[in-house]
Amino acid sequence: MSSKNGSAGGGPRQNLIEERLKDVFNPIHLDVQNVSHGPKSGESHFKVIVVSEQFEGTRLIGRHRAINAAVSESDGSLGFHSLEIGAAKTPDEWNINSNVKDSPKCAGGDGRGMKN
Amino acid sequence: MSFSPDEFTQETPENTKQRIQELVDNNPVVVFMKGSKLFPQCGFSNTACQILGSFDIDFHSVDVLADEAIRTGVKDFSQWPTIPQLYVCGEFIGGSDIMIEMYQNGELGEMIEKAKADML
Repeated sequence: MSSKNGSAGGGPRQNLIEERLKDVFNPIHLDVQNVSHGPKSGESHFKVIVVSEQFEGTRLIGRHRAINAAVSESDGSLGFHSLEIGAAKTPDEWNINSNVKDSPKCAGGDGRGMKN
Repeated sequence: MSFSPDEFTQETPENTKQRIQELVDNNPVVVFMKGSKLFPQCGFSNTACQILGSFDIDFHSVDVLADEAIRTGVKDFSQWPTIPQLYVCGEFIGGSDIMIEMYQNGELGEMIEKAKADML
């Protein structure tokens, strides 16, 4: 299993997200990136890529719900501002296409104001 | 003219849920987003609008930044923690990540075609 962090070491939230995703999906490939718009230490925005056999035979909505559930608090809230799922694929799908879309730019909706 | 006490109190979660249900029932394509179609206030909501805009349909959008009750209520309603959220013909489709993938593989286009028929 390969896994890489977006920042050296990773903060507590990032580590928690990684642990939870590993526990639930036993992924063959996992990438958790801290893409926070403010300081990285705020750990507010994350982008994840999960490649797991557990996604076989499941629809996209089910995969995303499962990922949301894995990283969320017990009351269903995320616990942080934004989760982007770059990819939720089976190993076969990942072998065929491992391109991940770029993230959109912030437009101020997280309260930090407009960014260029 | 009589005022009920409810006029001056906050909407109940039950009422919010009802309001969301009506929005979903009455609009074949509705997106709960940050900002408006013309001025999205979030990159992900903007992506959702761009995708829907490409289908040339008159979709309905709900600005959750202008409606705190819906902002929290819709997350509970859909059992989905983030905004934007797309509904097509009453069915919850997902957020912008799902929309992008379904747009690219043609699935979203098919669903929108069916919804267009409902709009006639």
